[in-house]
Amino acid sequence: MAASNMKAVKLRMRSIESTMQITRAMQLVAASKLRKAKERADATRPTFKVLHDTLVDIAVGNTDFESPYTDANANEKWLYVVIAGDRGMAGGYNANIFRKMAELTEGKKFDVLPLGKKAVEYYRHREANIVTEAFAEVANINMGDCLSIADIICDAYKKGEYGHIAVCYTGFISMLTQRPSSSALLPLSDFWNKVEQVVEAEPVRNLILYEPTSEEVFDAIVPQYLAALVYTAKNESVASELAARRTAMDAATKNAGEMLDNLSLYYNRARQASITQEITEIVAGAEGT
Amino acid sequence: MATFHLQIVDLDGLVFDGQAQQVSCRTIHGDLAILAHHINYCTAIAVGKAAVVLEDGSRREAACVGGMLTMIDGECRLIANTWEWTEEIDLERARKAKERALARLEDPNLKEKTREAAALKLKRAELRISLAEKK
Repeated sequence: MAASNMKAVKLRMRSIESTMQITRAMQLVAASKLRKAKERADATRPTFKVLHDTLVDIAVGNTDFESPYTDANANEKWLYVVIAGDRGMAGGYNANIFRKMAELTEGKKFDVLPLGKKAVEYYRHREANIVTEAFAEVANINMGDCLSIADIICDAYKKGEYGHIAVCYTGFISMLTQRPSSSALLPLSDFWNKVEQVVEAEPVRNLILYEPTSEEVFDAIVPQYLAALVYTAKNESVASELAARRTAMDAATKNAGEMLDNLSLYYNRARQASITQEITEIVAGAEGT
Repeated sequence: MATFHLQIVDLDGLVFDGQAQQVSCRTIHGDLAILAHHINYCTAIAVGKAAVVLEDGSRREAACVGGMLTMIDGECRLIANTWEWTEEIDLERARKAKERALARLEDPNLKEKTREAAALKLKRAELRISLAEKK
């Protein structure tokens, strides 16, 4: 075994070691951030459920109002709010959400409102029509930003620029499972149609009193509802990203450890072989004299 | 007094889930109180003081900003953008927010949208201060 080969192995080992340090650090950072993100996602879940239940109740009970938000307009164009990560190194997290989007948008005309650097980069690269890049850092998005997003969506929808608006995000199912999914935002009928299939068996409709009028109530509620929906989706996505990163970096650290074990075994063997060879040479030389 | 099931949520999670005698808040239409056996009802909430009378008759006040209030089949749900019980209000922070909002409103070249946002901020801060100082 040549000495130069041993040096190469040593170099390789050192490089793997430093990579392993990085992956381990990233895993630890993701794990500690994940706890907080998970708490936040868990906290918003009851809000979302109550909001959803309420809107379903209204949809079921309602027979007689018109709002620009409730009925689909004729426009075929879709707007997708896509929530991806700010960084890579999270296994299939970003790729999965883009694959889901590709599936959803097949054959449709659509614009995107990307949240997260990766989403902005992806759609800029594909020259998709981007509504705004103002929300590129998904980690820093707060409720105020979600309200601005909801305003943008509502304005565009009221102007008739889009026929349907939906959000595409990653649902946090458990620490080990995250699933890309999508949810309708506007018109509200997109969202209610699904519900009505379930409750069709119940023919009695409750009347609800709206004050001052159903239109005014809806104009005030819908932007807030959309903001809450986007906020929930964002919280789920951030938790998913961190969970995905933790898992990916855990696997990377384990792999690096394995490689290191194999290489050090190889290196030690090579070292032993070179010593043995040297001794053999010396002994042979001594015998020769 | 008769009670009803009340759920209050804000965007940071569930705030209250239990029986109550009365809940009151400011809606876009004016102040409003809900008692048990109210008709099915739905309205949007503005910025204002809110109060809950609990099962035992004690009263808790809070600063409530935005959202909706529904009463459907005896179940009341109040979905606020933010909901802070009086005892949880950070008075220092509210005072600072008020100063900031006032300073911003003094700028004559302010855009319409930013002015509206600043005016809303001022209103929220003043609500918090008035509630927190009273306790």
